Amino acid sequence: MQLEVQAINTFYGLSHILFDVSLEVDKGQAVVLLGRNGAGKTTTLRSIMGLTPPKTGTVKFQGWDITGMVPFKVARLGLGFVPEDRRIFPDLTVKANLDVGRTRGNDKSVKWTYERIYMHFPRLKELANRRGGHLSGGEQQMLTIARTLMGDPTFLLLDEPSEGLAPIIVRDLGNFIEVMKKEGITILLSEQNVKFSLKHADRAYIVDSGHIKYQGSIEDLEKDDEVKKRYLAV
Amino acid sequence: MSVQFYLFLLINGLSLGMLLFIIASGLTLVFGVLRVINFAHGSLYMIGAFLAYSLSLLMTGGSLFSFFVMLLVVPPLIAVIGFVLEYTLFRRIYRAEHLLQLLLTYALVLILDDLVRLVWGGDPRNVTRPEFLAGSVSFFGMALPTYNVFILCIGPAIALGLWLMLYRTRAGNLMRATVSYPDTLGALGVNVSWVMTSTFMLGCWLAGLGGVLMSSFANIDLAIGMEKIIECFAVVVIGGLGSVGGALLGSLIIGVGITWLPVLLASVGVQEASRWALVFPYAMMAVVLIVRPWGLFGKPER
Ligand SMILES: Nc1ncnc2c1ncn2[C@@H]1O[C@H](COP(=O)(O)OP(=O)(O)O)[C@@H](O)[C@H]1O
Ligand SMILES: [Mg+2]
Repeated sequence: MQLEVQAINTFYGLSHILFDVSLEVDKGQAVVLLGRNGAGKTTTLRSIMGLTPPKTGTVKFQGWDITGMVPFKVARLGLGFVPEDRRIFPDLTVKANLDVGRTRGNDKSVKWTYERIYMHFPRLKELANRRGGHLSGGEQQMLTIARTLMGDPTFLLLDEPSEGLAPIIVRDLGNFIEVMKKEGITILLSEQNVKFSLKHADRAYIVDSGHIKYQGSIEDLEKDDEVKKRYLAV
Repeated sequence: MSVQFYLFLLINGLSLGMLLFIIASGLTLVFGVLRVINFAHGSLYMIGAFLAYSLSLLMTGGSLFSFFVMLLVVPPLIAVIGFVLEYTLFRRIYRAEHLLQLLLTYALVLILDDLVRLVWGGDPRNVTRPEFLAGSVSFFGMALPTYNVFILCIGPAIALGLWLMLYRTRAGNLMRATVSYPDTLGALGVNVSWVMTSTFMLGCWLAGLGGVLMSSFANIDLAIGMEKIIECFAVVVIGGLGSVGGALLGSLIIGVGITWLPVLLASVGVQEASRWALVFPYAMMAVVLIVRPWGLFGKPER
């Protein structure tokens, strides 16, 4: 088990958001966390990353207890986080945004170099000197993923990547998720887009009002119209 | 008055402005990244000036060697003081309300200024200029102090250095990224606290450098910290809080303004012209705040 979340409870101030959320992700898997708007997907990913640490419960990454660890240390263990709202640094160029994610410095063992990023995202190469604030939504989504990859994560938390993207861009994104899977990167994806998730994930969890309501294989979920109707907007 | 005379004053004003820029750029850099206006910045500058004075007493006055030692030793010392202040005090208040930040930095002003009084006393001091900068160059028949010309060259060098650091190095990228989304930067594996501490230290280094340069520029006394922080504050408000380019422009405006105005006012028959000229930084600040509240180079707050 690469990631093990055990019965976490997370709060924003006094409001209790996550209730005993547990989930597990095996190395090399792509797992999707589905749920409606406000269900608790982002909060779950932020709890894992240490951005909003859970009050109780534990998060284990590769056997290490990382509950309450500061995010930069979590990231240095190999956990990459791609925020839902992209958070491209607006005053930095595309290249500088990538540079900032390059936390291993000049470590020769890095897999993700500028060249490889530009090979997969030729558009980012064309835009290398444009300021982050002047990118389209699709370009921002590619850049935010690429920026996190520059840190060479072994595990990627992807928060609603397909949100607000045009269908063609969503297809490109799907292709790139397949590339990352082939690279051996484990992925925990949060999504509302069921069709997209069914295509790229191996396993699924459904979260609703901060509770995990379903877990199972993608094939089982695909057949389960009852569950899909109840918890997802399909 | 002749054109030459005004040109002469212009150059003196510009060198005063450059000195101001070196100090103000530290203040604006710290504000830009940490979102705190460090009013103790002027006190750190003053400590730098007095440390340079003490150091100069240990060495042959006016030697090139002692000048270099001051430049090499004092700014890092002020940066170390900055490290201690940031680590123990400032990092607790980044997310606090402005009033609390103001109280902390103002309390530091009082404490540090009294420390200077305790250590160095109230007498004005000065540091002998190194020989090769002590003379003057002739300029349209007038004697322009070589030291002013020297500062006029150092200022742009610092501006260029800061620009290269901010826009051409990874450290600069990290600082500018911290301004927008510190949490996101942390989640990328960057130790943002360290970025903030380093920025604060760089700001203090600049205050220290300004102090050393000032100690050979004019007399130093207990009032220079307060005097400079007010000018610096005017500079960053005029240029735009957090903008280094704005600090450069603002410093030159203030430097030239306070050199020119007394002469200009006196020549049209105003009584006590030099006193009126003191109002200039505030007047400029007020005008900018009315016309363009975010400063000449700044951006409106989100
Ligand atoms: N910063 C916050 N402060 C208070 N409540 C929040 C905050 N962020 C999210 N919430 C609440 O937490 C719940 C879960 O939100 P979130 O995890 O963002 O859902 P999702 O990502 O599934 O849309 C929602 O009810 C939302 O209103
Ligand atoms: Mg969300």
